[in-house]
Amino acid sequence: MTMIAILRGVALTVAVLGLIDPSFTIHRLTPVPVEIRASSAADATRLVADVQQRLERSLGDRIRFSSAVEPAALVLVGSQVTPRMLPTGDIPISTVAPPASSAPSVRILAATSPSPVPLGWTATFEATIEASGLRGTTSRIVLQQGEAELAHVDHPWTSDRERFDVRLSYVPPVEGSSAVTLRVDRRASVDLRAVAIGRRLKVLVHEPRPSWTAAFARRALEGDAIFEVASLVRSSRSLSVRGGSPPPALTVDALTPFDVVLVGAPEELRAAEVDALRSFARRRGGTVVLLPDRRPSGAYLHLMPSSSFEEMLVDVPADLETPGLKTAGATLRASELAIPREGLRASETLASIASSKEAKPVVVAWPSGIGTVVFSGALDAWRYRATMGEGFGRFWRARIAEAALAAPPRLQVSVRPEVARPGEEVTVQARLRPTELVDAGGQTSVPAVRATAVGPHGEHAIRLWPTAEAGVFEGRLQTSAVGRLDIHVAADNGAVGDELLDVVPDAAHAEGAGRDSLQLVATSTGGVAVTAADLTPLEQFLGALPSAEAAETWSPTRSIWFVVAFVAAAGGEWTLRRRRGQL
Amino acid sequence: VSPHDATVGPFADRLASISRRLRLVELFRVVTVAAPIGGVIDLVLRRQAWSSVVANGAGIGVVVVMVAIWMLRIGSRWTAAAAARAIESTRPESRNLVITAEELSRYPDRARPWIRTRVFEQATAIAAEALPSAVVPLSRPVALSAVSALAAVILVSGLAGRAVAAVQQRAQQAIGATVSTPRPAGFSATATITPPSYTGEIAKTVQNPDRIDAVQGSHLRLTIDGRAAWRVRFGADPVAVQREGDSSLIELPLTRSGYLAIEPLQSDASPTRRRLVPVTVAPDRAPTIRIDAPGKDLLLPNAKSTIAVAASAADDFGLRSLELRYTRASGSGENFDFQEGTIPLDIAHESPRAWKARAALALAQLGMGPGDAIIYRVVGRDGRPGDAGLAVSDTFFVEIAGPGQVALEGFELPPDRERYALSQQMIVLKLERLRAKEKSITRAALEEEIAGIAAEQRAVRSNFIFLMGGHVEDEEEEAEHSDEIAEGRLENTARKEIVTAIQHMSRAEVGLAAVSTGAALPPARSAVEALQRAFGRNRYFLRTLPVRSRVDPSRRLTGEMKDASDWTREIPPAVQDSQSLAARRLLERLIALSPALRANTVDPQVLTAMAEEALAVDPAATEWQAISKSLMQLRDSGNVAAPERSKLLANTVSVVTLLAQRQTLAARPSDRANRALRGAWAEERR
Repeated sequence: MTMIAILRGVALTVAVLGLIDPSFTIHRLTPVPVEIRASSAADATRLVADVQQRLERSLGDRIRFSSAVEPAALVLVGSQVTPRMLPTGDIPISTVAPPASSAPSVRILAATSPSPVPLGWTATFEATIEASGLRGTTSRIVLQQGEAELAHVDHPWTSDRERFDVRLSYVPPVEGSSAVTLRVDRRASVDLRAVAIGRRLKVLVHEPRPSWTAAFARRALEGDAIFEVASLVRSSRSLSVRGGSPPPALTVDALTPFDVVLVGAPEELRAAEVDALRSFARRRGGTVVLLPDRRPSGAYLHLMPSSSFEEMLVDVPADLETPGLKTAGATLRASELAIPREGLRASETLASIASSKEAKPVVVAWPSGIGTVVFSGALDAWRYRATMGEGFGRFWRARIAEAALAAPPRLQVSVRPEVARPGEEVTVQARLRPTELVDAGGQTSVPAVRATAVGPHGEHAIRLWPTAEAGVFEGRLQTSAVGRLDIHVAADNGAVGDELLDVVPDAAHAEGAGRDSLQLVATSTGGVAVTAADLTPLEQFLGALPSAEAAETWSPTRSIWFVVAFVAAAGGEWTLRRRRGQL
Repeated sequence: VSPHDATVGPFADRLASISRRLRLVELFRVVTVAAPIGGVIDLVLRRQAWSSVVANGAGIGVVVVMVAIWMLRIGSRWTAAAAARAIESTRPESRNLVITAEELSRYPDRARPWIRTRVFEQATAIAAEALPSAVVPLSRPVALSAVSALAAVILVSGLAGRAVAAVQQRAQQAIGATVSTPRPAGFSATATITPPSYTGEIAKTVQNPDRIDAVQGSHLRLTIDGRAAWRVRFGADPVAVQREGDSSLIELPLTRSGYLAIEPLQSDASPTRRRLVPVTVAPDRAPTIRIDAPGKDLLLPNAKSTIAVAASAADDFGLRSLELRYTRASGSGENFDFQEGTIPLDIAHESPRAWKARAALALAQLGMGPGDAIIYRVVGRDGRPGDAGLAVSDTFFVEIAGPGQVALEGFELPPDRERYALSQQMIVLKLERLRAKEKSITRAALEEEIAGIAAEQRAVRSNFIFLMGGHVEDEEEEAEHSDEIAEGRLENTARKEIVTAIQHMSRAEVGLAAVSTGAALPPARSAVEALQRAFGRNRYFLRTLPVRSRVDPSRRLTGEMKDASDWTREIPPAVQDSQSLAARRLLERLIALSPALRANTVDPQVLTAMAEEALAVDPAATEWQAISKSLMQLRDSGNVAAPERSKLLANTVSVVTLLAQRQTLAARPSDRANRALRGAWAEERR
């Protein structure tokens, strides 16, 4: 009787609950969706599968690998990463590099071709080389052209994993482009290019009053054939001495043909002339070199971030620290100095004087727009021009040549890489100088540009696309056959630019700082960078990712088991009653 | 010995056998000594360019003569007696029996027959037991002579020279030096350089010279061995070649640096036989003469003193004479009288090349009077004829103060304008004297004396204001802006110092007006210091002015204002560094040739021409000589393995590159791509 009652009660309770149909909201954690893929085609998918398997084994259902849903994290497996591989979304990207090989190896991580140099000047090639497992051995790093070894460095490796920044110098003997190879023993190589230009660098020397400093700097330039110097010296109120073809006045248009403007006695400049010089630096990309011979004052101070100067007079002329000059056996020397006190963070020090605490900048360059303003605080350096290897003349020749070479042409074309393999994709960039853009009515008009690749097998158009920066266009070119291509770009306003592209078989490139780029991507997106040899940090990172919380409404009476329970209770009660003969 | 002595025959035979072996031993010994001597003689003669036949003949002849002399002189070493002694030495138990027997064989009548027979019987028995090979072993002399003969053969065949060359090559490879290349075959030359006789240097002879260094004026005698005909050039100038026996001879006076190009006349001769020999001619430098004491100009109060002059002179080859010359200037105004003379020097010869000299300038004996001046210098010459070797020291002055001229004892003679400093100095002196005695004089006397000094001070100050071009309205303002005059910084500094001195003079006048020596003295002293600074710098500046830059005061204010106009300056064309240019051209050709050089397919004449071009750039420069030598080594490296040739090429490129980049600086890398970004960031930070 009791069992029958119990079963009946259960059946009635279930029936009542079914009629009531109560429901509950439950918050549950869902597995984190993670996408995993190889970072480059060169990396085998086997490593991807291996990493995925190991992560699934260690993290279980806390993560779910899927590319169908929007992932909460991305794992890139491979040795390199390029911007194209990166998703547009804002998700953390972790990287898994292949385990480091234990075999001795050398890689050229980075190597850059030097900027074009004037014919007869020294071009310096820089490269970063990484060696593994070569401790105790010496590598011969060679720069060669054809079969001729142009320069070399022997570097002894002192640790198992070591990086070495190498600088090799070479004087291109002829004007034009020369393909060279930087080789490390017979283990690694990279193809680079040296460009010697024959064009003369246009320099204007402007002296509102006669100035010894500017005069001797001008003489140093006039003695070098790579400079084409125009000069104007106002020797009196109504008299001037001209050399070459200087403009009658310092105006924006008159300064455009020049690469560098040297100003002696700059305190005599008028406000309008200072404005023209500012525009020359900011928009033309030229360099304004200010060579005062007295305490800085006047309108030209607005060209610089510093209007406060420390005046220093030393009993014995001081040899200034000038990078690169001392190695040539020359020294810039001065005894009367004006040292800028402000705006030094954004500056580049070209010459400094040692002091008890820290070196004080004497000749300083500040960026101004796309150009540069150089201030020389070595007020009486001209007095020592004949001493110490003619340091005065050599210093200014070097720095002014660098500045002139850095002045952009109307239309500048560049290709990456400069030496490519047949079939390789090359990026072409065309950059219009700001002076070629027309600003009117709050709008900037950019002239249209056309690019063609002219080679031994004909001429091909290159489609250029505007980039986010006004006046800059980019396009891609698929190289075909071996040879030299002339990438010619012309703008509607008449500006033209050319760049040469060498296509050679088996052209070798720097491997790039793969590990660095992996680390950079991981760090900048919030992920971690690990190697396949040890996934623990990645496991900890993925395990710590917040799982999504799913709110579910649970209605237990709608479950089939609820019906089964009701039927079982009701059927049991009925069966017991039948056995006892109760109806 | 009677022939009937039956025992004499075997004994004599054994002695003869041993005697022959003794002779052989001596022969081997002499060969052991003579063979290497013959080999050395053969080698030396061939090194001296004697023909192989002559050298070999001489070597063999020496050996034969030595053997013959040796064998003739020591014939006693293989006699029967020597053989008997040899047997005795190996068989001491015979107790001189064998020696006795040998002696009896020569002097049979010294013993009775039966004794003699018995001696011979026993000696024969002993000799029969002593085998010749044991008594006189030949193995050691034979072995020594064989080794000696082998050494001689090695010397004669040149194997030793090749082995030494191979060792040298390996050593050079080990230390990374340039790879030596074989000397061109069939070329042997001897250069004899005879310096000029006055140098006292002895003639120098160089065998197969790589380069010739000589003093200017030397004489070169170059002998090229062999019957081959040669054409010789000194640079582009042909040099006469004379035949002298089997050799060619050139004679050349060496007056300038250059190079000898020695080429075979036969058209079918190997291009690798061409030789380039740089000739560096060093000029004979003139003597360097310095006056060590007094070493400065002097202004003296009178002519009573005697000036001790000390001088030193040096020359690279030797001095010949040294003397002190002077010019005495006397008079005043426009009536000056000049008299020249010479004073002998007391010379101490430290060495033929370095002399020290002393002299005494007795001013009174020279007739010096107030206002007179003497200008002196030391003149010397080296051994060269004519005035080529003449040298003169710096010139110094000694001036006797004139009437009214102030001079401190031995004070350095100032230039004209510096005398103003002395005037101010005199004011200081007067002030100091007055200050020392002011307590002992009356107030009125003090005022009177101070008034006199103040007048002088005003006069001196007026002079300086006049010197500055007029009245200085505001001395402070003038001092502040004294650097505005565009006369050069040093001049400006001097002017500034003068203005400062004028200020001090003004303060001194204020002190004098207040009748206070204490207030006047410090600014008066400061004025002197400022003037000395000003004129000291100015004097230095004026002395270093080149002649063409000196200002001609007579042309001042002679122009017309209306004629002043703009001027267009002609810019002279820049002069390119010819050596860098030549190096770049050479580098370009080397790079172009590099694949063919590695494959060893370059025409040797091309490399010879390049080597000559390199030498022609500057024959005396060691850099160009090194380049030329490297190119010649490349030319002659046909039999060298490709890696070694690559090393030679790398060495050559390296030395050429060093020259190509002289006078240049490396351009620093340009961050052109990021300039705009850096500029924008800098603008933001302002």
